[in-house]
Amino acid sequence: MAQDLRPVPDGRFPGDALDSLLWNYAEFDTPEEVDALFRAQRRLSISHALLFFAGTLLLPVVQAVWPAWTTSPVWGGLTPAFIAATVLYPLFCLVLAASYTMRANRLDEDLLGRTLWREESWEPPVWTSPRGEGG
Amino acid sequence: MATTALVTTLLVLASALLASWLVRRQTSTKVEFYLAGRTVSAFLNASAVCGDYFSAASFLGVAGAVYASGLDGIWFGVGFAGGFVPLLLFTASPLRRFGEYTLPDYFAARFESSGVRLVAVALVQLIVLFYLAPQMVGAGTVWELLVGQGMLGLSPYATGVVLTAVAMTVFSTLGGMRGMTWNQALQFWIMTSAMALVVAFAFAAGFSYTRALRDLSAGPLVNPERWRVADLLRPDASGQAPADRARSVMSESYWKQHVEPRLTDPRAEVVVLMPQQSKLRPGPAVYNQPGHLYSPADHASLLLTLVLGTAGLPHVVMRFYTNPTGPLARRSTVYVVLLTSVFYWLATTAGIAGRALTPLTAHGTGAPLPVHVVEGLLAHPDQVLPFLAQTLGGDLLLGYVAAGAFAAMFSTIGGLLLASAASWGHDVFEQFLRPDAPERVRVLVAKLALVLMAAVAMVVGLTFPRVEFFRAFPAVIALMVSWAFAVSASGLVPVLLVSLWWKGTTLRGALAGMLVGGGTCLVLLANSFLRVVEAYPSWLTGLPAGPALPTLLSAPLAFLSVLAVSWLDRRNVPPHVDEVWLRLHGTARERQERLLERVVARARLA
Repeated sequence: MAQDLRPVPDGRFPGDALDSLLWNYAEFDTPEEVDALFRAQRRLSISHALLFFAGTLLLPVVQAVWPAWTTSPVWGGLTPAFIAATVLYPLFCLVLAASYTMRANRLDEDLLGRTLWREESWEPPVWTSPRGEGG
Repeated sequence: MATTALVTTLLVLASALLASWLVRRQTSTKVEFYLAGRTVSAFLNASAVCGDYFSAASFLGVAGAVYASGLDGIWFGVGFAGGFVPLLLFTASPLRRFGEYTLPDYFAARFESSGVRLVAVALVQLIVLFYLAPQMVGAGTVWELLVGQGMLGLSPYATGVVLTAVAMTVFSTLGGMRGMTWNQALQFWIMTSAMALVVAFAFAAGFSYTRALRDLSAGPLVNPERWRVADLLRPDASGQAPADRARSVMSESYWKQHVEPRLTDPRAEVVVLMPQQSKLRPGPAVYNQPGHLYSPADHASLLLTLVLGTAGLPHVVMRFYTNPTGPLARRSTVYVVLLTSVFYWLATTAGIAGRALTPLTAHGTGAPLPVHVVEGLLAHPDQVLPFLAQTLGGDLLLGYVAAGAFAAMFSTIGGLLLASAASWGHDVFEQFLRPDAPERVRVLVAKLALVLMAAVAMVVGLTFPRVEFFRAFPAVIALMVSWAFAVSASGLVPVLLVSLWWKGTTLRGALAGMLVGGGTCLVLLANSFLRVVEAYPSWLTGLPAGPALPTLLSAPLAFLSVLAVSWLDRRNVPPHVDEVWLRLHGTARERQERLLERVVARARLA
């Protein structure tokens, strides 16, 4: 099963002896593993998206229904609406983006990554190209 | 001014040409030409994405919008920055993992259909055109304003358009995506440093953010407006003419000296100060309060347009294909959110500083720019950045800001040309005309397509009704750019998001989503456009004007269409969807690529 699903390297050194070397040391994912990862990633993306769109669309609503939000200065001429637009909203986006990225990358690593060797300790064999370049 | 601006701009051109020249040997394959071999680092790519993304609308337009509208102007910049969050959450990683060249490529492979590829190509080209046209108009206008000299018998405006088109053709065909990456990254840092310098000079001149906001918001918002004399003098239902309102906020001496002598010709145009009304609640607009530009519906529509539209912009999406892996695509996007937030904070601060300092600096030192100042306020808000630069930092700072303005346009135009060329060359030529073409021919066709699109852009820039555009500049530039976002948010993004994350999406569902979303958006935009240019057919005058941007209606319709039609068509889910899922959400392919790089590196070392 896994043999059929191995990815094909995309346009790199077609015909080189390297291809056969790769087949010997292939990484692979099974459809079941990918499905589990996809569902976990979708939950993560949707939960962050709900937060993002709620935060984004809340601002025009608050502006429309709560006059003090836009008219009461907090410091100098800075109103809560002004602070939200210039500082809080960009900060909100940044925290959301960083939080999502850390979690999504961790999910990738936790749920996928089956290989035929441990990448950290693996030493690739010396390869000689057909053109005589390299070792 | 002309000498300094010319020298600085030529330095920018030279540095970009050098970057393209240095990497010219690395564009011999298609993956190198379009995608820089998919080996661009996260931070470099983030800088290039920002360079690609920030156009004249961002560099001059956001500061101008804040100058003119205060808080409502800020939302333009905030929306631009926030747009990268949905892109990160839903598209950055899977699209990179899918590993194709263009958005139409993804749709064609996802649904195994050349029909959906063609619809996507049409939408992509429309987005590119909406984005490209105002950039070319901006290039001509900025050249005219900042350099003011024509070459080879051309007018200053035409010189700006032609030089920009020629320069971008040379850079892009020489350097492809790798050269473009370095160009765009370099140009982003030129823009940001120019903006930061203007803000630093403003603070050094005594600008205080909070005090300026308090002072500017003490009374009703007043802005210069261009009026035909006949309209200015015509009384409304209450018996009061606009001229009366203008006179109530202008000094008697200015009125008598500059306005009154022109009131004898009803066809003449005059620029007067006019008190602005709030669209949020009855009464005048105030600088630090919302309501000058947007009603709540317009505000929500603008935000939705900008935050959804970014994920479907072809030149931005294409940049994400250049990341080495999915996780690096995500990390790259986090850097983008950080960099865009900093850039737009600088841009908004420059706008506020301009509003606070213009009345004090209107008679500054240095050779004057051809700006129109009405009682301490700029008639064209987009000129605030160069005006502030010259009055605070002299010709040298003005020259650097001029370079920043050209950098903004060059980087965006370059990215758009490359995305458009990829769409014509890869999606049309390779798929429909010569699928068996050798690599050399494919790269050649890509370069020819790029030259052709640059020529189209140049013709568009030269033939646009320039006077009308200059009158509305930068409003029309910002408006047309937001149209590109609206087409993307309505025609491409809903189908993209649903098809990336729901296996049940079918070809018919995708086509329905694209056609309903894109079609609704275009009809509403045409409705809005015809009203703006006063060419609305009389037999349609009964129709409602609708929101300024249609996304609030067209994007939900597109989502509904793709979901409903796919559900009704659920027996026709593409049979190969599991394989597609492995490519979109599996990591084996990129792990394999990392392995390949290690093997090749080892082979080279041995």
